[in-house]
Parts: sequence; structure tokens; C-alpha cells
Amino acid sequence: MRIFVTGASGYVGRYLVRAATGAGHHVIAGSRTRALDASDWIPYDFASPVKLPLGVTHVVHLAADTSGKEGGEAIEVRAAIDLARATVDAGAVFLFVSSQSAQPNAPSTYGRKKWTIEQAVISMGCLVVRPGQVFGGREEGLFGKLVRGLRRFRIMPWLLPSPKVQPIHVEDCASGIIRMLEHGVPSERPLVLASAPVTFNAMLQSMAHARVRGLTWIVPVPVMPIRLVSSLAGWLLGDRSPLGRVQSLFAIPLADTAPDLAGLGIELRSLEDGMSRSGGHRRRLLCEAAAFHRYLMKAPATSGFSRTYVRVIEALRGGACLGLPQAFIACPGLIAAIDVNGYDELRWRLDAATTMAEASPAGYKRFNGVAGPWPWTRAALALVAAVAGECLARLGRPLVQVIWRLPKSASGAPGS
Amino acid sequence: MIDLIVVGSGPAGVSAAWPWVLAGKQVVMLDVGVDGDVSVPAGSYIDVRRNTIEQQAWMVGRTFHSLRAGANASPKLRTPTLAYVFDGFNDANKIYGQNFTALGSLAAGGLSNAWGCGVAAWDEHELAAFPFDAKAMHHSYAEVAKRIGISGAAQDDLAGYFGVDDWSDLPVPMDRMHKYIVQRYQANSKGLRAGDFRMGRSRVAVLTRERAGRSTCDLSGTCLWGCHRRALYTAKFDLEALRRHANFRYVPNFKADRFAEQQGAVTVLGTAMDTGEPRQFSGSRLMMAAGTLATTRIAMESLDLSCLPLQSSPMAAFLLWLPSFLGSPREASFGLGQLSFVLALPSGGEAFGSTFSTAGLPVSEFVRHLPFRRRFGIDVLKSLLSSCVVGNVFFPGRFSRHEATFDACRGLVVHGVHAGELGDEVAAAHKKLALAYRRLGAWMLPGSFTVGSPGADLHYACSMPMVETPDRRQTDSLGRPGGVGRVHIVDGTVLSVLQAKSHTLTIMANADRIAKEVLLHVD
Repeated sequence: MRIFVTGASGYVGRYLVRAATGAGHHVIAGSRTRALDASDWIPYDFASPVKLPLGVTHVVHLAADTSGKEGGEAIEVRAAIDLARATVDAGAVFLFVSSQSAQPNAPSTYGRKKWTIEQAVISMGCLVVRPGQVFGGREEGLFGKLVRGLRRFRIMPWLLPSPKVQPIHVEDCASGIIRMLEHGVPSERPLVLASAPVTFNAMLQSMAHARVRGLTWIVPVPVMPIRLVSSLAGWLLGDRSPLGRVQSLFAIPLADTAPDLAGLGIELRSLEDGMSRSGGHRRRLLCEAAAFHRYLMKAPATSGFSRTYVRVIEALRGGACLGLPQAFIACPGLIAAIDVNGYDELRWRLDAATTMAEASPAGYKRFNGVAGPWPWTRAALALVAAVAGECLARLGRPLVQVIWRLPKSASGAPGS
Repeated sequence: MIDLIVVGSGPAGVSAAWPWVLAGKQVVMLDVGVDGDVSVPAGSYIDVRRNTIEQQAWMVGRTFHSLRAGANASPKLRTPTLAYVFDGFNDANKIYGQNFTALGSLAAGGLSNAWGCGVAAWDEHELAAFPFDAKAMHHSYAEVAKRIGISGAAQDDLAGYFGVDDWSDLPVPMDRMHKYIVQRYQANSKGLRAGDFRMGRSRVAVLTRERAGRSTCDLSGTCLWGCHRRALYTAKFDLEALRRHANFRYVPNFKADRFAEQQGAVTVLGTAMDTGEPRQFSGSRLMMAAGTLATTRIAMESLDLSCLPLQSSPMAAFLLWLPSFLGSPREASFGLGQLSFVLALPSGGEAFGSTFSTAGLPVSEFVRHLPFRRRFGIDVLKSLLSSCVVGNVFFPGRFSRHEATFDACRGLVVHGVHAGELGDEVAAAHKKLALAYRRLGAWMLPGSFTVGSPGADLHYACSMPMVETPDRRQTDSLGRPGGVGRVHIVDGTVLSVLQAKSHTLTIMANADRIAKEVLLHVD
């Protein structure tokens, strides 16, 4: 695909450009500042929209004014509709990235203008996606503001009762958009790209846990007075009200996104995984390393082992984690039941972990034993115990398989 | 004018260069000549493993070398300290294997940086197919053996078989398990010999007597990784010595692509490895010693051949368990062959093999082959491996039917094929070995006898065998392809047959013989 991305230097834009380029697509970035990862760049601004670059097969319109300043809405709406029309005229696919706050009577201008553009482009047969609450990766966008706020004030407002949001990791959002372009089938309604609803409090808590070092005070905040104040501010100040976005938060229509996600064939990462700086895979790989170490060595992993394991998987196996269920992480002895032929990727990783675990003084001791009294008897008993363990693992295999069948993606070796 | 150009710095290359250098001739050696940057652990393997924190660099590799090699590759291919020996060979030479392990070396000293150090002289019977009097090799065997330093001389059943004891020092001391096996053999040797099984000390190119710049084996047991005391011979030592001669010039960074003869001279055309620029050297004579696969490719390219046969020694490995040593502590011991055996094959001819201590091998090498889940596999080996020795057995090259051909992109593809009758020979050898070792107090562990894939032995040879009257696909007694006057192939390429018995000393002696004969009688 030859994709033109507006808003390419924004929070989602950067990730989208990187993911599309990484997937082998040619990306022309449109933004006010240069986007580094794109194949090409052209300046793009609502005030002076450019002509559609030649040969473009897909356009992703991400550019939006999120400043809340007055007066720019009409220009922004016009620019979006013009670009959509030019794209459709050129026979290319137009995808508009809207927002979950898009509603005809949205409390914020942002939500209302998104709604207007949605209606216009859907009538032209274009694609519309509404990402949920985007989080993770670089601290930008609303996510960045919230993290910086937590870090600065050390206070976590605990809303009572908490509104609900539907989070999506920024990388998942980018790959979802690319998947939509690949599918390319327009629908009559916007597609919501988000996970199942969680409370806003849970999201803040996860954010504080993963991104803010040190103590954060939890301050209960009753919602009613806030809503009153923000409504009042909205009434008095209109769109200049700084509480406009807070007001939007309470008005987000929640959606069942599972069918759409299944249709696109994407699986979203959890809030906990996504909040970490590596986007979750390092944390999961570290857990995998710890489980394998404990399984092989019968001892907790050293940090050196775990770090090396993560580097190995990133360097040689594409960096994805196997997705061992929690039961295996918590009770690594269970791995014996799935340590069998057929699971190629699991075998490779266990072999690698075995080689790495051996290369240490503790490894020498575990793999070679130590001298002691009654050596013949001790060794014979240890052999009997090992054979008994093996038999037990074979018998227990059908049971453990109920807990976990290796995902298809992990059964073959990914490209190294 | 250059008198002699030698391509390659491995055992054959240095052996061919020596006589000409000592005769005062101008010799140029062309070589890629890469070297390693991971240092071999200094000290006893067991001590280093027990006590030093930093083992990842040499056991796994900074760039995870040991994890990159395939699960079924030989431990040598997973050893980070030897990575440089094999790295880049296939792509630089465009040589690939199909059902064949096609390896070679761009390193100074070639594959001898990673060899098993086994040495033997082939007797008249074994050299019968060679187109020259076998006696002509005797002097060369002696010369090479004295130069590289070998050990293992013993009055045992294999003294005559190896035929190198006149030039050998005393053997490296055995570990307790090998001593036990020898004692049992001495008590049972009559019966075993009747069953076509003979055993003796391994003869190896390992020092047990000090030499200039090299120390004796101290049983540190790091043989798999290399020897920091320089007790194990590699052709690199000869290269160092050659470079001290003013009439010898070593040109590294050069990869030979082809040769061409023209009026009284021969030109080697190649590539500078750093810049990719073409380079060439001309001289009166050329000796090709780039290693069998690379030399075969260069010869095919130069002589416009499209297909050549190739042999290697099919091999198998096995694990022997000595129950009376169960639970014995790990013992510092020599890591290469301690005892060797010869086994008569049903179809005639002999298989040859050796047994090794497991003390200097990573246990994870065994875990992956055990029919146990890894956790219990480690438990089993922790108790069992210190009472085990590992063995290998080689079969004659006539059981291989490999073929080297060019593909559409001018890559040389070696198609690996084992002869159909090999299966029966291997099965018979398996059975005989299990019985023989059983009588020696060692049980061959069930399922441990594993036949290597074609080419896994790395004993490549016989693609352009020496015959009386060669055509373009063969060579004469001086290693010259039919119709060629100034190019001598002196490495494994020209062996007339490939015996199961260690062949490196024969390749070196043959290179020495050819070099001397050309020096004395031709030029």
C-alpha cells in the first residue's frame, strides 16, 4: 500500500507510520513537523491543505485540533471533507480516525466536529474508526497529560462513582488501523477499536503503578460536584472551558467491540501489559524467563539470566512472548507437562534457557551435582526420583493441556 | 617472480609451503585469514565453571552464537570461541548443502582450529589406490608428525594400526573411567579381538613434551573451546613459524575465485575481502589448499566442470555408561580422544572411533537428546553423566555418494547421499560396539547411538582423486588435474580414497610429498 497519513507527527500518527513502514508499506507523512520514520514527508496543515500525493492508494486522516481553541472547527471539518472527496475521486481508500466522543450533541466541540466529519465521509463510502482511550508508549496526547499530572501532583483522583473508558494501546491502535486498510470494506457505522470497558480509576491506577515512581496519594473525588462545576464552566465559558474533556469523559457511549476486533483478527494487549514502557512484552518475557529458570534450575532466576533471556528472544525470535498462562508462571513445575515434542517454539526457548542457565557457577552445580557421602546411593536415588518425576509429568499432561493449548502463533518458529 | 603460490593456510597449505620455504624459494600464501575475538577460558574447565561468574561470553556468546546454530548441529558449531572458524564461509564461497552439512573455514589455520587432533598413518594397503608407491609417503608422515608434535605412543593393539609411534611422545594421561576400560580390555582382549574389536590409546596431535612457544596438556579440559596452552596443534602455529622466514609472504584478506594457466605461469584471480575489489597474483606454480569444498569449487570454476563426486566419512555418536562409576565426582580430564577402537565391518574394511570424557562438555548438549523433559533430563544427567563417556565411530568414505553441482545462481550445491548399504553396516557396528563395551563394563545407553547427517563429520574428500591417468575431473600423483601443468591440488580434494581412519595427517603428508617432488623433480 502507498499510504498518506495526516497528523503523522502526533501521538497515534508516529506509531501508525512506524507500524505501516515496518509492515513494508510506503508511507507519505503529512504533518506540520517532519515525521522521521516515514518514507516521504509533505507539510500538511488544515489552513493550507495540499493536493493528494500521486499514486496514493490509502489515506488515513488522523490530523485533529485537540487544543480546544475556538474558531478552527469549520476549517478542520472542511479540510477533512475535501481530503476525503479528493481521495475517493482518485479511487483510493479514505479512513477517518474519529473519537469515541463523537456525538451530535457531544459536550465538547471536539466530539461534535468529529461527528460532523464522520457523517460526511460515511456518506462518501469511506471508513471510520473510533479508537478508545489511547494509552501506552510515548507519553503524548491525553495519556501523556495524565501521566505527567500524576507524576507532578502525586495525587490520584479516585472518582466516585468512576466513569468507564475503553482503553487501547497505541501500538494496537496503529495495527488495527492498518488491518482496517488491508480489509478495506466500508461499513455503515464507525468501527470502535477498543478493549472492554474498565473504570477510569483502574486506568489511572495502572498508569500510576507503571509510570510514576514513588508514592501517589489516592484522593477520593465525588463526581457529582465535578459534573456540576464542569457543566457550569461549559455554560459560562463555552468551549474555552478547561473541563470540557472531563465532561466528555462522562458522556462516552460504551460499545461491545469484541465482534469488530474478531472480524479484524486482532487481539488487544491488557492494560497492565500496555502501560509498561516496553509495551508489555518485556515484562511478560521476564515472567517467562523466571518461569523457565525455576522449571529448569529449581531456583529463582537471577536478574542477569532474565535480562539475557529477554535479549535473546528479542534478537533471535522476534521478541514475542509465548503467552504462558498465569498457572505456569505461578507454578513452573507444570511446564513439565507441556515440555514435549511438537511445540517447536517452546522447545527452542527451553533449549536456549537450558544453555543459558548452565553458563554460571549455579548452573554448573545444578547440571553436574556436588560431591557428598554415599555417592553411588545418592545418585541412584536421584535417578529413581527423576524417572518418577518424568512418569508423573507424562501422566499429568492431559490434565495440564486443559489449562493451556499452545497458541498457533507460538507453535512455529517466528522469523528470527 | 613468485616461485610458489599457496592458496589456504590450513594443514595442507602449510605442509605444502614448508619444503619450498626451506629451499629458499619465494612463496606467497593467499588466505582470507580471519581470527577469533572470544578468548578461550584459561585454567581448568571445572574450576572456571565452578568459580567464575562471567561464563556467558564463551559458553553462549555475546551475540548468542551457541543459540543460533541448529539444535542438531555438532557442539563445535555452537562453541562461541570457534565461531570465527566457520563464520562466513558459505556465503563468501557460495557453497551450500542439500541434505549435507557443508562447512569450511575462512580462518587462518582453517578447519584445524576446530579439529579433533586425531592422527594416523595410512599403511600400504590403505594407500593401494593412490597412484604412487606408498613408501613415498613414509618420509612425509615422519616429517609432518615431528613438525606438529604428536602423542599417544603405547605398546597396545593399535600401535601398528596408527603407525605413528616412532614419532610420538607419551600419551596424555587417561581419566579413571578410561583406565578402567583399558584394564578390562587387557583382561578380555583375546575374546574381543576375535570379535573384530581392537582397542588402544588415541594418537593425537597434542603435546605431552614442551616445544617452543607451546606448553604440554595439563588436563584443563577446555579442548572443545580451544587450548590456551597451545597444546592442541592447529596450522596457525605453522603459519606463525612460516612468517618468520623472509622468503615467505602471507597475504590475508584474499579469497581465491579461480586460477588460469598461461605461458609458463599460473594466475590466481580472487577478491579482496575488505573492499570487494578483484585482485590477482601470478607465479610459477600454484598449490591449492583452500579446504576440500572451497578447492573443489575453485577447480570446477577454473576447469569449467559442472559436477563432481564427493566423499565424507559417515559417522555416529553414542553414550556409554559405566555403572561402577555412578555418583563419582567430576574429574579434570583431557577432552579429546583418550581411547580409540577399530572394528571390522561385515562388508570388509574397518570402522574407526574414539571415546571421550564428558567432563569438559556442556551438559545442555546432552539434555536436548534425552527422552526426558528438560527438568528431569537435567536431574538424570546430573547423576549419570559423570559415569559416562561419549564415543564416535567413523565409516569409510565409500559409503557416501555425495555430489557437488552448480545451481542456477552459480552456487555450488553439495547433495548429500549415504549409500544404501550403510544402514546394514551401521546396524552391525552398533550391535558389535554395544557387545564389546558391555564386556568392558560400559553399557551403551539405549537410544544414544545416533547416526550423523551426511557431511556432519566434515571429513570431505576425493572430489578430484589422484589416479594414474587423470581426466579433467581427476588428478595425477602430483595433484594436477588432467591437462593442467602448473596447478597442484594438495588438500583432501585429491585423496584417492577416504578411509575411516583419521585422514588429516595423510592430507598433510601428501601435500608435503607433492611439494617436495615438484621441487626436486619437476622444477
